Amino acid sequence: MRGAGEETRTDRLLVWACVLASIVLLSLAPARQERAASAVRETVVAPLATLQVRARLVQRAITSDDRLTRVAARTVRAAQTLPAVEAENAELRALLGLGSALRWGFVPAEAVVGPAMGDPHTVVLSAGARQGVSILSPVVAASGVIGLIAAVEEATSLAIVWPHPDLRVSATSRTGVGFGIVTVHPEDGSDAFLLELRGVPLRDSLAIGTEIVSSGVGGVFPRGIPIGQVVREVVQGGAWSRTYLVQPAVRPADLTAVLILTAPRAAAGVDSVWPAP
Amino acid sequence: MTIPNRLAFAAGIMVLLLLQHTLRPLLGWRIEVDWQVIALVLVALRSRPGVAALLGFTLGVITDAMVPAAFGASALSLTLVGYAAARVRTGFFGASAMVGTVIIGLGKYLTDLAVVMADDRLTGLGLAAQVGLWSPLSAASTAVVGAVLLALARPMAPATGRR
Repeated sequence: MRGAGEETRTDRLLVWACVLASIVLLSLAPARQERAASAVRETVVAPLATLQVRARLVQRAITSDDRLTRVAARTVRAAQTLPAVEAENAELRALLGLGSALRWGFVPAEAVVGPAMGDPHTVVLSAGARQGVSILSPVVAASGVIGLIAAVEEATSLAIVWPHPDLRVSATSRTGVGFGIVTVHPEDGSDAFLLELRGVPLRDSLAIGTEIVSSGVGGVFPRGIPIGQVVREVVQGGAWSRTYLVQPAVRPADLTAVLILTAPRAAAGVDSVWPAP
Repeated sequence: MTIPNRLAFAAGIMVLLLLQHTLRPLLGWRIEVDWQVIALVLVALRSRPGVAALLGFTLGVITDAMVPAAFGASALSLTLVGYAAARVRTGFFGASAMVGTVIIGLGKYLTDLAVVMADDRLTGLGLAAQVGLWSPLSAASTAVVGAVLLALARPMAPATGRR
């Protein structure tokens, strides 16, 4: 008789097959990895994904309740701090108002699996092809650009968010001065979550605090969605263009609810939705 | 080993796998208990190495699909964790609760490490915090919960070494 833990030839074959299969999966190109992950998510994992969506919604409900309690306590304790309450109200109105300002062509979604360990710049969202989401749909919040849909399944989608190295947005200042590309700032430490506006012509100078918005060039992000504010210029000796550090308008770490713009909405533009501050 | 005990053990494993996809996202803590690793080790300690590795691979692929950081990293690490759990107990130590606890803790830490290393986007302070703080704390909490569950599962676990 053979013990349950003793190794037979079949066991060895199974172990090696699993190890080899894992290595093959690891060595696939990112696009193929995503296709394989997508196939698993749409079949075997679909019920588990639904469970996670529900768990997230329950968590949101509990958190919201806590937040409301805190807001109520603050209001009672310090009625004289009306400006603070007004500011908070304004923030909430901004969140609610974005949907009504857009009016049409957007899909609300929750971050099902938030920025994860190992990949803090990718999130699974609770809306997919069934809700009209397609690849390269812009993902936005009341404060501005968050990211881009990288893959779509039936009921969920995968978004890359700031500061993902593959996320690039054609950008300019609110007044249309200084066209360039906003991408990740490749630094560690305190600057790690800043972005870079690269390729700005030497003749165009941007002041600190200048608001940067999507330029609409490229056709993915419509013109006028806030991206962030200029922090400072990055000095590069011998460069033929300027590069600016940009503080992103949205912190994906706090990401919970987002809006996904559909292709027709992106094509129609969002000029009046995010007015100048 | 009676049939009711086997059914209770199987039901317990299913509950652990459900907790992985309900309680864990519900709490949403940085220091998280990995119910999946506990379930894997509980089964692996009573299974043949090949079956344990296959179960680890399957659970790993599911994890990789849900958190697409580095597809295949969890599959590889959980395959090795399952295999190690099934081999180590007979090879060296016997099926003690202490061995199971150590394997659970190490398994969780190595799984985290594999995902972080396979997906090289986490760098600098973020990487150091993950590898030096959050992952060890998660591994420790998983090991503590695993030790309790190992003690609870012992009376109802299917007998090993019999066929």
